[in-house]
Amino acid sequence: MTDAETARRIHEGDPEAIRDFIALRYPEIYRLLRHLTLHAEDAEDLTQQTFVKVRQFAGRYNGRASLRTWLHRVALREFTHWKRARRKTYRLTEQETAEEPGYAASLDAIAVGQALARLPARQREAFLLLELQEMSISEVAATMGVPIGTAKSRAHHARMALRSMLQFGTEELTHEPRAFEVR
Amino acid sequence: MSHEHSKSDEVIARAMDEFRREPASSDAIRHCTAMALQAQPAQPRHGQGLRWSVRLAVATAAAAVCFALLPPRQASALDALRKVFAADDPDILQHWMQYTIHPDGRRELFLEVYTMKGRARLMFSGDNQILYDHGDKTILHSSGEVEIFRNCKPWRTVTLKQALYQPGHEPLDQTVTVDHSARLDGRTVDRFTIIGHIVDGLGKVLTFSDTVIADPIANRPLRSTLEEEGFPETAIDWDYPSYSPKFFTLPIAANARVVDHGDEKAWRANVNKNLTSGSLPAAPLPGQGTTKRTR
Repeated sequence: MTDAETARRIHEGDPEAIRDFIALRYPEIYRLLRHLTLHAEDAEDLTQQTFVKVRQFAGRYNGRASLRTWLHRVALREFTHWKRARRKTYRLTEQETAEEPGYAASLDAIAVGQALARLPARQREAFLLLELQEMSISEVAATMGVPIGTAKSRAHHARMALRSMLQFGTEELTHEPRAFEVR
Repeated sequence: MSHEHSKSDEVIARAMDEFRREPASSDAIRHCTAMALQAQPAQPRHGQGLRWSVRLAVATAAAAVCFALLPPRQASALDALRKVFAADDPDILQHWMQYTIHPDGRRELFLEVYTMKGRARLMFSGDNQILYDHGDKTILHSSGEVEIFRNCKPWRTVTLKQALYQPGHEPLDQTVTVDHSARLDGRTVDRFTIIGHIVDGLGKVLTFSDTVIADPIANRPLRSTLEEEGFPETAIDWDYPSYSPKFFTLPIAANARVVDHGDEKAWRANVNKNLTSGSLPAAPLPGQGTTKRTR
């Protein structure tokens, strides 16, 4: 089934198409939002909101980008709205991340997760789309609505920052695991 | 790539693999599906033709409002004022007189100036006259005595634009209007009114109101009044006479006592060198001769 056909069927309210689409795409959208929001419940809410929006606006999918890219754009937009609304009720997200159980099993994943949480939002978005979602750089640019050079630059700076944080953090982790707190 | 970078990249890659394997809650997926199935499609947009028609109508209406209200008047007034600024050339011979305007409307002459390309003769009302000419600064005191400094910087005329918009005092907002049929001394002139607000050094917002009267053909300023809340109003009148050497000649009496201080920079350095703590340097009085004072 082509993207355009999938979008048309979702727009028409075909339950099977909706179920299949959500089953296929829910995990990757959830994990992206999970690392953007740094909060599992918020990520679930936003993922749900993303798919509701897709259901509502699938008729406007014009086929210029893949349906997956379009879905990611919707998710990023929902994340942006969430960030704006959240400014009024700021929470210590890094602390919440560290406390959430079952989020990442290995020390590598914990270290990378915490380092990611410290990146500027735009860099984090670009890096996650590129590395976690395994998009091409042009898909990242299309999803973020920025030129390819900007997307590359953001992802590059994110990687440089992660490397330096991990080098420092990995040493700490080797000698004293409990010392790896977000500073 | 350094070993540390390579190691970090491996850590990142392992973490990404792990993140990708992280399962999503099946309850959350079920709930999400239910919500999506219940959602209704948004109302379809209007057709492309109608959409563009609406956009065009909105744009036309906005443009009409803009043309009907501020921009045309503002743009033409500002453009005309910019021409006046451009015509206010400090290199051409200008004669201007600066007045203080008292609350009863009386104009009191404060300063009269002839200026042309680095040369200037300043005549302070009832006080000194100063001539900047070819690197010399000559001060004719009201007592008739004369001081001369050499190798001075040339005079720099403050332009009308600089007088209106002093650095650091750029207006917060301003409204510029122009009356092309104003009269001055029997002739038709352009009269600009500039009203706006600035922030003073203490952060207080002050209202200013300036007028500029300009020659509509040559665009040169002829008169301006500067009024700023809390400060006395000042006015400047310009005229542009033909050159005459007498404009840059001080009326020094033949028997006047003259003190030549020589190089101004050296003179200042000498004064500073002799500055002692707790007291000001003894100012060289006219007629006391030397500027090479020693301790």
